[in-house]
Amino acid sequence: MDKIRIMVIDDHDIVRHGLRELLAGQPDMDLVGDAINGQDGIDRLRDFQPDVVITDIAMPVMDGLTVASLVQEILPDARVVVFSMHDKEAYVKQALDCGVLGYILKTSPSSEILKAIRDAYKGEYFLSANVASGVIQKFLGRRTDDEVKKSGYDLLTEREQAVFRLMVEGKTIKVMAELFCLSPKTIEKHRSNVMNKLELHSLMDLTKYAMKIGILDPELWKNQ
Amino acid sequence: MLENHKLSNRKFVLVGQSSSWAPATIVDLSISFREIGLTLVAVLSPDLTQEDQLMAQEKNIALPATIEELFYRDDISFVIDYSQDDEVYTQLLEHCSIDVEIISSSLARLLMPVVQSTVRRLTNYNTMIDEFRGKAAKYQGLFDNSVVGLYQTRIEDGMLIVGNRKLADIFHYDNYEQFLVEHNAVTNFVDPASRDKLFVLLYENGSVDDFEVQLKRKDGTPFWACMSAQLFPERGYLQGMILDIDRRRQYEMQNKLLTQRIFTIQEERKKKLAQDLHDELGQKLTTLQLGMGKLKQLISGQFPQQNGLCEKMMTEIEQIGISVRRISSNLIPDILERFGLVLAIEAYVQSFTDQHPETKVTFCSMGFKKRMPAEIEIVLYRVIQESLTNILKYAEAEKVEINLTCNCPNAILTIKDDGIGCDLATAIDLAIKEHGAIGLLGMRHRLESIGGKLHLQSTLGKGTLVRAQVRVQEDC
Repeated sequence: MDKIRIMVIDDHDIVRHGLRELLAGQPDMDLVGDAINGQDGIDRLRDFQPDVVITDIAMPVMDGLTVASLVQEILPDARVVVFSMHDKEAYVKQALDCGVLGYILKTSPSSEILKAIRDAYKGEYFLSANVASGVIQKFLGRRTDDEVKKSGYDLLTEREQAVFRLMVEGKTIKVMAELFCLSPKTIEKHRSNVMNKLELHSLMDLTKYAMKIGILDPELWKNQ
Repeated sequence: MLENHKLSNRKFVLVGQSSSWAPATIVDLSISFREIGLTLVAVLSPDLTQEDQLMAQEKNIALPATIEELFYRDDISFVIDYSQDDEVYTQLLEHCSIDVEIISSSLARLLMPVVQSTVRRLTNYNTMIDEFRGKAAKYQGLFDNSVVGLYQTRIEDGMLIVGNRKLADIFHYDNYEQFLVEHNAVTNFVDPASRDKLFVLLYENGSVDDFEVQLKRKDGTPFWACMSAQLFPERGYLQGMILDIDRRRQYEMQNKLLTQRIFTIQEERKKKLAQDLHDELGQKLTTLQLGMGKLKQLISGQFPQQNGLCEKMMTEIEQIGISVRRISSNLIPDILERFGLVLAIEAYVQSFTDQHPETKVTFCSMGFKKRMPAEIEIVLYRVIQESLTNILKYAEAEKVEINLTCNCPNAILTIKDDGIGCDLATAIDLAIKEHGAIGLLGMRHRLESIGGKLHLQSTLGKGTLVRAQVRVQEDC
């Protein structure tokens, strides 16, 4: 059986050395080469022709996520496993977006990195236990009611956001038109866009909504 | 008494030394007598002053040098004499046609009270004038030596009506008289719109206090002044005082810069510490973990009973790794710089919930089209950290709602809890006094240092609201 050809990209000598030691004991793995940063790794990718690339994220010259994207282009058959100190879902998500199959925390037991290499070689995903739970929670958390409610506001343009606030502050169309140097007709259009996008039908509803999401300045409110 | 003697509308002559009716003048006396229907037509007195003579002339009162000048007049009804000189009566009786035959001391005595009361009144009047002069001098002293500039200027053209010496000092005039002539309240505002603004406030409220504005000194140098003003539209002027607060403003600016610097240094140090922890300690732990992996391989053949120990140590290293990441992330989240505030807050809320599952924290961000400037992101992140820490310590809240909303041109962050609430002023005071904690005040200063503002609201039993607002865009 062919051994898995592995390349390590990490700017820390001790990490590269540690991985070399660990992989040397694995009968199905062969460390074919290493590199000290992302650019160095990409430059030598064709020479080494690895099956699996293990890369750190935070590195000088070129970071690991850029490496992951470039590997897809240069060696479409090669798989990438991220080996990083960063445990936040944002990193994991971005790594997965870049085509990474494995995401292992550097301080996790070394059995995880070995499993990630083997899974990636087979084209399967494997994430460190500590990051996997975060990603799943995040995925579940996405489906809340708030998500639905807020979507309307996200549709507003910046100008419409401002018009929304001024409406709630009780400014007339004329005042807004002067403020933005626009015609009253344009302001009228913005106003109806705000109502439609937020799916609200009265000024009262608008005010309640504005209070809920904190737009209204309480000090301004107090003075009126 | 006078009516009894049918003295009304009579003309009379006064005889006697003027020093005896001083400080009344002839005019004073003539006015007093006119009030009771008597006309003083002549005065015989050896010691009349020049002033008396001038005034008498104005009032058409003759001042004969000798008694002979009065002889043969037929309009004189009587003579008041308090010279006690019988010779004078006798002469007048002989030579004048005086129809009231009482050029006697009895009528003189009768009319003396009139003279005396006039004298008394005038004495009082003079005392009052003296007192007034004394008071005026006292207030003049206050006005002249005041440590604030006092002014009265015309609304219409800003011309100075009254101004004290301190005012001249404030405007750097050595010559007070020159200042009084040259100073103009319209042209001394650096920004002419400031005067308009002042007047808007004045017309709205009648008076304005602590109006901070830039004015110009004599040579045109701008300086910061604190004005108070009171408007008197019907009299056409405004008056008030001016304090030179230029130095205070400078100190405030320096203070602001220093505060900013402290925050920057604090952030830099946190960042450095976080990086060192994350990178150095992190990489060492990695090596340790990889080494343990190797060790486990080596011994598993010979000492399979030690496998458990190896795994226990590997788990321990993993836990240390988690702690290192948490500590460094609390110092400054690496994710903030790379992924921005929204994801950083999500991650923070997640780890907060992991550690304190009893408090339900929700976070919602809306309306952001692009990332905010880094210096604003870090401040808002710190506001959330500080608020959640406070909530955990004091609020006994079950639910916390965090909203981050972009409302062009501002970003607005609200943190609302359903805890026990507090009296904010007391709470902040207590926190500073007892624990030297300046968390909330620090937050306020930090927000102000980036042009934002912090609003706190708390009701006992109804929770607390923290609201931060900061401008993130030039315009929209």
